[in-house]
This record gives sequence, structure tokens and C-alpha cells, in this order.
Amino acid sequence: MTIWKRWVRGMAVLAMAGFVSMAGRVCAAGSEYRVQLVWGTDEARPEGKDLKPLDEATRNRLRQFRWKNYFVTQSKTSTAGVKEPTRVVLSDQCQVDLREVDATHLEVRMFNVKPGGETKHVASKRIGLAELKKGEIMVYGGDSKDRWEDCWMVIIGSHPPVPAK
Amino acid sequence: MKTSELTLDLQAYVDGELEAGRRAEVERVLSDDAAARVLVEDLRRLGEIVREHEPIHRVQESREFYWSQIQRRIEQEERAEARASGSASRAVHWLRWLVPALGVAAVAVMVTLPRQRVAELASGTPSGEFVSVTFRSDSEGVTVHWVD
Repeated sequence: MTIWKRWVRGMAVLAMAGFVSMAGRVCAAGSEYRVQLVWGTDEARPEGKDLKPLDEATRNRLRQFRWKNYFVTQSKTSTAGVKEPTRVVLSDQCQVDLREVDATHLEVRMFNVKPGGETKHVASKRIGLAELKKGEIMVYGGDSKDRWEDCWMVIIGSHPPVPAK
Repeated sequence: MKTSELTLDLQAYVDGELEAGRRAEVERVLSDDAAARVLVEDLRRLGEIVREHEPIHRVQESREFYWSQIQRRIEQEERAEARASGSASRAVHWLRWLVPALGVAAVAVMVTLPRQRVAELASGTPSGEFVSVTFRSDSEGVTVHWVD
């Protein structure tokens, strides 16, 4: 093989690799995610409140937790920004930022909004985009400050939801 | 072979002092010569008689020589003990440094290992200061970050 042919073949491989990388970024940037704010409690559903129970599949995946009932108080679908995060407001106290990092991870930054409107950063965690596409979910959780023995959860997964494998 | 030379060779043969070639030649002579065989037998018998009745002369040990042997044995044992204690003290010297070093290493491992594990679970994000515990269920494909 001549040097010229080797050079052409090398350039072709590089171009293909670049195309695949770009395509991956574009596809990743277009992905949608489901973000749910969930209330975990041992009590029954309160009268007069339109709360949907958490879907059975997700509930089964959280069976290690002790609460009897999980109610979805907010469910939103959102894309994630690449350069700038996309803000998802779940309640007057809870917000999350979604950002795709390096076309490989989704970074989820969680914020607690104080009564005066001050936003306090709580945590930042990442989950692999490949894992999300396989059905992985990431959960932020904590003890409820308002109701003794209850909990809150923020569940992040792909949209539409992918069953766990 | 001359008689005197043969006699000398037979003596050497009985004493086991002949080279292999010479011994083979003597054995060939012995197979043909009955007188030579008789002579060899006589020489062997004589040798046995001499060995059995040879007087053993013992040198008389003096009192000083006897005690000098004991003293020499004591000195040998003292030197052996000194060598053993010397190597033991070197070991103690090394242990004096080694034990604290191992302790520091163990503490370093205990401090760094959980951090690495948490860092892995947190996928390298630096500011999870309010996350107290991270659970991971591979079977369910769920990662839970519990926030204080």
C-alpha cells in the first residue's frame, strides 16, 4: 500500500470517528428525562388531594425503603442543556438543574429554595447517559422536614421510562 | 611379572591402593596363580590380626587441658548468644520504625479508601456536601443519594 493510500484511509477513519462523536452529542442533547417529586409516607392518600401513586415498576425498584405509600406530587419531562443547565421547578421548595456533561453523563444539581427565595445548592451528582438509556434511575431522597417519619424523593430517569434490565 | 614386584602389587591390592588397570592385571594373575591367591589370603588375614590387636595409645589429658576445653566451650556458647541477641536487637530497632510506619499507612488507607468509594459512587462530582449516604442496587439499576 502506498503512503498516499494510507493517508487517505487514515483521514477517512478520523472523519468517521468525528462524525460518530458529533452524532452522539446531537443524539444525547436531544434526550428527554423524567423528573418526579415523590412523597413517601405510611399514611393513606389525604382526602381532597389529587395525588397519583408512584407507578408500580418504580415502586418495586424502591422496595428496600420502608414507606407504605409513594405519591407523585410533581412529574415533569425535560431535556438537559449542554452548555447551560436546564432548570426544572418541582415545587416552591425544590428545583433541579439538568446538564449533559461531555456527552457521557447527566449532571443533576439539586437546589432547596428557602422561604425568602434564596436558592441553596444541596447536591450535584452524575449518572451515565448509557446507563439511563438502559433504564437506570437516580434518586435524591431525604427525611421530610414538615412531616415526622415521611420522606421526599426526586427520581430522575429517561423519558419515556425504560424498564430496568 | 617378577616375584618381588608381584608381591608388592599383591600387598597394594589387598590394601586397595592399586589403580584400576593395575588391579585388573593383578586379578588376572590371581585367577591363574594359586600361590598368589594363597599369599593374598595370608596378607588379608595378617591385616585383620594386626587391626584387631593393635594397641590404642591414649594421650593423658592434663587437668589444665580438661578445664581449658570446658572454658573454650563456654566461650563459644557466649559468642553464639551474643550473635543471636545482636540480630534480635537489630530486629527490634527495625520494628521500632516499622510499627509506627505501618500504623500511619493503615490510617492513610482507612482515610482514603472510603473517599475513593464515595467518589466512585458520586461519579466524580465534587460538591455533594449534603449527601450523607449513597445506596446502589445493581439488580434494580437504582442509585439513591440520601440528603441530610
